[in-house]
Amino acid sequence: MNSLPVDPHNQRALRDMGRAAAGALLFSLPMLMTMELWYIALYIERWKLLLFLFSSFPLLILLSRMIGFEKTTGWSEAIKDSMVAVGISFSTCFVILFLLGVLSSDLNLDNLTAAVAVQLVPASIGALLARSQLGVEKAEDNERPESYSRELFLMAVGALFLAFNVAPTEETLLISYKITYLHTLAILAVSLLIMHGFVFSLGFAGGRELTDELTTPRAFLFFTLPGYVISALLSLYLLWIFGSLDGLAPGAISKAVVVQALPASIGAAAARLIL
Amino acid sequence: MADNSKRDSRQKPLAETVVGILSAVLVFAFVIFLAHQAITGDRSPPDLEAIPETALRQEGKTLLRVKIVNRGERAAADVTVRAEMPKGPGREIRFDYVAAGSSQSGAFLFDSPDVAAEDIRLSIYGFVEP
Repeated sequence: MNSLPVDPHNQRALRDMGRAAAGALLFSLPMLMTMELWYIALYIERWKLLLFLFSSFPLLILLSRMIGFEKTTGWSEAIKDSMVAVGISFSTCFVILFLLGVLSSDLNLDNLTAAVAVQLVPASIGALLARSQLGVEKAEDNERPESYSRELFLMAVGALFLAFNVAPTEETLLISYKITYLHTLAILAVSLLIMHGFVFSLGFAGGRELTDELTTPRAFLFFTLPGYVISALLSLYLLWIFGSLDGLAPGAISKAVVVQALPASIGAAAARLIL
Repeated sequence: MADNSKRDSRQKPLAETVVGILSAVLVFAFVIFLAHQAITGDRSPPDLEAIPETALRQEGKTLLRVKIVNRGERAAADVTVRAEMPKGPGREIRFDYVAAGSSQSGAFLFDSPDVAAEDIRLSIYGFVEP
């Protein structure tokens, strides 16, 4: 019996989608198994959830254009791929949350959708990073022209991803309540040091060598400080989206942002090395 | 083509300089704010007040919204608030955290439909330091 010929194009598309699902799972599983995110879905204001999703789409499209789970040749293809990544991530998150018993018939349609939607952004980032991080073409794909805006963008992706892991947890706020302003200043300084060390001092693969042109003060001014500002602003945004800042005074907000920006800034630095 | 590459090489350092200086100003301002708070704040213990807000009728019951304000400079955890009525049993709710200089909202649910906010006496039983 002759087997049916397999269209190599379809085979490749299926493989890419499988990788995207694997990436979505790998990047979102810790969050899918985090209790606070299940509850956030029940009470997050729906307009904030919509805002979060819509504000993330440009980031996903840009990520698809730069990295993506398959090679893109233009913006329309990048938009299409990012939408495919969102669809695959939605299905992946739905199946896992159902298997974990989080999604049940006790929830109405609104809450069921919100429970999956709140997980969509990190899962979609994972789906889009699948090719660069899990694919065999990694080495050749990483030969991309470096640009300042690209580096800042990748830092934002890394900061958003790691911040998302921590922002919904109660511990972020509890730590901010326990610490003094002196602790807060020290955490800020340590965050900057770690960010700078990761990329410029520790000699990691993907890190940058300091040169006569790129001296330590210049690297700190042009890369580390902007990276920290991006991390802090994204931390503020996520904490606000999740309602963690409701009723808080500016001082309490500043502590929470610095605590949240610690993992975010490490994520930003790591993204520059890895992506 | 050559003009484009010249323009790019001029624009790139400018963009980096603007972003770098703006970031330095923002981080510096943030550090100044935190340093000011470190010098002037973090001293007084939690100073809590329970304030009744609105009373809503809900299917034969009354939902009384309350706000807990912390005017102190330190956060309070496990803030237990009790609502006493002139007649009938009181109610207790617990707030996990009330941050320094901040507020948290919650609600008591009473079985009677005719509970007025002004008839309720709110008292804070205590807190622990987080």
